[in-house]
Amino acid sequence: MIKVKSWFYLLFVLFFGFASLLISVNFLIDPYGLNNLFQLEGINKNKTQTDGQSRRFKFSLMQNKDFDGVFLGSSEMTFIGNTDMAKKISDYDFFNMAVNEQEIFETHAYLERIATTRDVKIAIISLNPLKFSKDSPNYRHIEPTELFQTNNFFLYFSISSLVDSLKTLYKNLANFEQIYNESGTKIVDRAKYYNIPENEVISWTRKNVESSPNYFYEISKNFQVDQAKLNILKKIVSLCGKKNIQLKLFIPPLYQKHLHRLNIDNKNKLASLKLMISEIHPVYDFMIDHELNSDFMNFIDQVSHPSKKLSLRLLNDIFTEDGDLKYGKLISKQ
Amino acid sequence: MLFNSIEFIFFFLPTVFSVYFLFTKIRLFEISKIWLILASLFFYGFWNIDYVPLIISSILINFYLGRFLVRRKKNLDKKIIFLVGIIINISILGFFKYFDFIIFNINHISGSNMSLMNIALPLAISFFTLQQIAFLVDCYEGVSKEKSLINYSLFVVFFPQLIAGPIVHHKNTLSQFSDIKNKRLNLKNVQVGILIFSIGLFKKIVLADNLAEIANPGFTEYYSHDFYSAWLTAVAYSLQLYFDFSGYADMAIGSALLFNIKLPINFNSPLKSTSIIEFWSRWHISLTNFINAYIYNPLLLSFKQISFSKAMFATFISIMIAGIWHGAAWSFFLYGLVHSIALIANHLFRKNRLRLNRYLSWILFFIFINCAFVIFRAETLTGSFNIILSMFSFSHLNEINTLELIIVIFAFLLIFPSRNSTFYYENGVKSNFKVAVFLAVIMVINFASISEPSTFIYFQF
Repeated sequence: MIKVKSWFYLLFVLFFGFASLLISVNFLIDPYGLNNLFQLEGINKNKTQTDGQSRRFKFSLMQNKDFDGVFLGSSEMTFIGNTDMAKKISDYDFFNMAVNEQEIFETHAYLERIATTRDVKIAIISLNPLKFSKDSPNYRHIEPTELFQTNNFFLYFSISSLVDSLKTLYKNLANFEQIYNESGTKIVDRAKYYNIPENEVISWTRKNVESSPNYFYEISKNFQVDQAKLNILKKIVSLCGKKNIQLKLFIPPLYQKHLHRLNIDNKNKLASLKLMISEIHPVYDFMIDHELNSDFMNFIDQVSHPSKKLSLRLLNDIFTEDGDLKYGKLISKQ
Repeated sequence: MLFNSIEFIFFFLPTVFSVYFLFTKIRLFEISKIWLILASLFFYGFWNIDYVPLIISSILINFYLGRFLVRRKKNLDKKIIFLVGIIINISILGFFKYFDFIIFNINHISGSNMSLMNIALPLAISFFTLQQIAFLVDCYEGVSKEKSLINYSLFVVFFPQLIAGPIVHHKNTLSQFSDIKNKRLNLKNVQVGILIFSIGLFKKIVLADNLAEIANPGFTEYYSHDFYSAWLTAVAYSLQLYFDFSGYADMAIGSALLFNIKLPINFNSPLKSTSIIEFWSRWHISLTNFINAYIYNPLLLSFKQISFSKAMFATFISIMIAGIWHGAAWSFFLYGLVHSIALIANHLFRKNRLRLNRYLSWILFFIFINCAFVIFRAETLTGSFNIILSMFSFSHLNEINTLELIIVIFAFLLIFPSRNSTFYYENGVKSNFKVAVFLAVIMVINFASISEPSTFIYFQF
């Protein structure tokens, strides 16, 4: 038995020993690419890209990229904002800074940050109408202010970073597929991503896409437009005006059966929200009855995330210069 | 201020602790108590300064009513003053906690359109009101004779127990504030205090907050459950509630011990219970004791003859009050109701000497308690019914989220082989290498997990 006073000294030494160990592991594995000092193949080269950490990962990735266009929005935009396809259509180099459950205030914060740190020419933003509701649940993990902090000490001295370090290590050792490419686009090959045989992809997709009959009814049940969120959209438009950034807004597609499950009473509210948005800035609307939206293979999962094929059709419409839209509708004040 | 916040752990607690023992070292004992009172009021006002006058008024009214009751012999005056005191306390609690709920229901039933007051519930009001009612009762009975306003104020506002208990009894606490032996820095108490505080912090920020990430979406999306996800949500919430509340109690006990004050234990591994009767003797023990002493016993003793059915009636009323004490919502009424019925059923079992296998008893208890906590947590009754129905429906199964399942199983398994933190409280800690390593690891995990602090579930009560 040690004397109590000496025991406290021992505790002090042990505490700093374990804390140093934690910091060292996170610094060396560097799960978010904060220092990029040691990039070892099979150990830590492939950084963590889990959905829970996509804000941290993508922000860090963005710091090291050159681009002149940016995609912003919620999970659907991680699929739609395909930077390779967009480059071919528009000739802009895009970065996809969309993340799951991105709120409109986050979109504004990210865009403001991007606009002040680099010369961006174009911003394409997906506006999920349900995110404009007062009762839209908020699942965010990392606040923008937390993300923009320049002091990385607390990222190294962090248990969640340790968890991500271990995931990074495991992912590299087990040679996992990347979820995002270097420009932040989500690459989802259904068979590889969901680990299903190629010959079962169609039946799997049908089952998956059609497996949530009540979800869209329930999330739209108490739909009430939140004026504060529309005001943030106005700030985004004003920011783009000041910084000379071309702004393109669109409302993403929804699988036809999901669209029809939106609460009937709220369909009018949805239509009026689209008009309210269009009064702030012209908006492309893909949340419509259209043959492309009635094919389940054009969607990946039960929450209507669009496939690559559908994303290409959408981007073609957004970048068309002759105004001849093949898929969506342009709603504007005029 | 939150126990799990950086400002509390790194600034408030070390400052209050150091200054307190500085005063006691130079024998300024009364000043040291005043310092603790001021620090506690700062701690309370840090949340919302508007309610500091309310707690100060409540202390003054109750103290002087108590003094009056002590001085008077039993007569009509004394009874009237006592009743006035009880009515004042219950009225304040009722106004802040239940007024809008009553108006809402009157509007709903009668179709009237009385406007709601949208009153914000003052933090800790349920806790400090109960403590002061107990004080008045004991003054009336002649059990308590506290003469010092400083001691009394410290008993009510002492920051470790102020916000969410344990509900302390003046009999056990006031004497500790006066005891000269408690004025000296006691390294052994500091050692145990830090250990228990750290275990509590671990329960809160590592276990409860991560379980909340699983439980919360499950309650928000109450309509989309299958058998598995409904159980995952329910169990995640039961564990979250336990770790959150018992974590708070540990932090309260640990930080009070730094000042050589021993608070009563509030939890004794309640999820290991094998019956609902046992559960109530292990869960929120200080509330159960209060209910027993000030509601159940007086009610039972008010009958001329005590019988089983009268005892069950007293049980029913007491537990219903415990349910409604949690808040103004039908879900808390229902929570009290299901617990009352389960307790009566459990007593009937015992009376008729019906015995179940220990493991089967635990399974039945566990199913019941998860359903009851779903009622406690769900925002609407429809939400709770949806989840409970899904817990017993085997029709279709969605995909299983392995990580969430692992977290819940880990938290669940942690309860069973582990010693309750109160073990260290009651038996002390050995100053050896093993304990130092254990505590250092927990402290590193805690400090490396602190981010934006989340509030404790029981703050809303």
